[in-house]
Amino acid sequence: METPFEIYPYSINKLIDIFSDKSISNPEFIQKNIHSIYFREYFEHLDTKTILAENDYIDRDYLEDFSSYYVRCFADYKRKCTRLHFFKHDFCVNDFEALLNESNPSLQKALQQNYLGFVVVKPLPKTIIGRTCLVPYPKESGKERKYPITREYKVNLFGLPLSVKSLAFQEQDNVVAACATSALWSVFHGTGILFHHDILSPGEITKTATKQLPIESRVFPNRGLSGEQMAYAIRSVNLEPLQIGINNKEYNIKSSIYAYISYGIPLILGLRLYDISGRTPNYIGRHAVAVTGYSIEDQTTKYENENLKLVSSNINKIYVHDDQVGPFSRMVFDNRFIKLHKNGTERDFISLATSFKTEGTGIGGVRAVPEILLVPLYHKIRISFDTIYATVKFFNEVIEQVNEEIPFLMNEKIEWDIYLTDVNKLKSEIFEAEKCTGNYFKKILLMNMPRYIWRAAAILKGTPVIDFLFDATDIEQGQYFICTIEYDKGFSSILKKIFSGDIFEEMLKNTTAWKIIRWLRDDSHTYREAGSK
Amino acid sequence: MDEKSKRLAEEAGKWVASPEGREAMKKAIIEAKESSKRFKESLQVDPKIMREPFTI
Repeated sequence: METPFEIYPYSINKLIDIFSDKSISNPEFIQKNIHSIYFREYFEHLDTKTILAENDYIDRDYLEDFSSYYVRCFADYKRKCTRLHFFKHDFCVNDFEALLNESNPSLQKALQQNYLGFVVVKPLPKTIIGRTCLVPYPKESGKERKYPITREYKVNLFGLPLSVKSLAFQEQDNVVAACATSALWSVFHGTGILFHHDILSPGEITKTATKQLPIESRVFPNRGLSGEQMAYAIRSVNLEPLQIGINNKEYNIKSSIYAYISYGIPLILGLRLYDISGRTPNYIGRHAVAVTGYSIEDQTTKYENENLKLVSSNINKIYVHDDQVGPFSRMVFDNRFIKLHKNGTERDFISLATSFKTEGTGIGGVRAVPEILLVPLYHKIRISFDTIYATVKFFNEVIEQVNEEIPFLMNEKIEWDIYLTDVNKLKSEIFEAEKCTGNYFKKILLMNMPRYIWRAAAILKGTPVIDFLFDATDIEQGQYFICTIEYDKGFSSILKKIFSGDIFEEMLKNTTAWKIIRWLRDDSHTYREAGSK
Repeated sequence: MDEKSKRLAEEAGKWVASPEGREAMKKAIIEAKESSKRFKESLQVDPKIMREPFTI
């Protein structure tokens, strides 16, 4: 009879043995699998010391899929899984037995502090990685890694409370779920908490997505979902799917991901994969991943000339839950294009480096050409990023024109930080900011604001000078401007003088821009430093 | 507010109100509108792409 738990010192070989022992796969297959390669690097990076295997674990997602599919197979698939817990702390069976026998606060604290998360091992022949919640890669000096979508997962290990901040990941099983289902499942783990909706199991997602459209292929075994089907799945949890085309523009993908993920909304990224190990790129197929984070490594901003200079242009990596690779796996913007034929002509396409591996290529041999983004939005978020962009673009254009004649930006350009947020986050940031004191900021904290807000912060030489706040719940013709927040009296006074010109009223009346200009002209909204009247 | 900012604010205000400034502002407004329109169009999704399955 199997014991309730087993404890092993961590090594990649031990992990592969456990994967093999707890599934019905074989070590040779697991060793070659990309997930093992990924986990090797991941657990070594996290300085993993101990694995605790929790046997006979009932996993809700696997159970749903088991009842939908596996239980009806002739072969006897097991109903229960194994959950592997990882710690960066050495301990043995005797230590853990002793903890269960009697209170040991120091060991309990050590386990809680050194908990790295868990991986559910499914009792299947090949696709064995079930619900996985592991801490993201830690911060490194000089690299700003951001994972705004992580949430707290509470774990109860035989009574010992543990928790991990992560976003759930799992491998597609090629039966009830393909890549698109796995990506949606991870995305729903983020939006389920943020927007309070049910989190569907992979099987439920596939069934919901395929319910609406008559398609040639069958539901189970599932070979993949289209963008439309993913959009239906998003609607089924009462969210609205916003579609964004990349259209071979790096600016589009970076600015859009940043705008929404900053609020903690994970996005679906649709890609075309190409094997580049040969002389010409060889098309592999379309792949969907969940975008879960990004990295800003340096400040070498690149942006297309006519566009705004955005903070998001500094993104050099995105992190994705790629069911073919692992959680928080890297995709890198390394300025490499691949030549592809489209409509009879050869063109350069932007592409990202991936950790994807095929039988013919090693890691690095597959590049991803981004195609679409799907953003699952709460239905009240009606104003989209491009609308805010247009208003900000107007102010930037005017400021730059004036600056050419009267240089007041100190040989710099304004960098814009545009992202979705909500009233509580915004006010907490103002409340906690050391510089935001006095009557001016008190008035902003007391101001009645909508729940969802677009924030466009103008940054000059690394310092915010003014924020424009917009009501994300309004409609476009509703002049969705809320207010400005001024941080620099000198900059604000120049802005007010620029926009005092009557040309703006003539050309912009009844627009959002005109509402902002009227706000800027009104002295009662002017920034006054703490202590001044 | 420092003297330099005051001076720059006055100069900027005067220039925007001048015929040359007004013309530049008109151009800036039109350019911003066109550029935003191009950006909005570049975010459009080809409906064909939405119908192709993601299979890997």
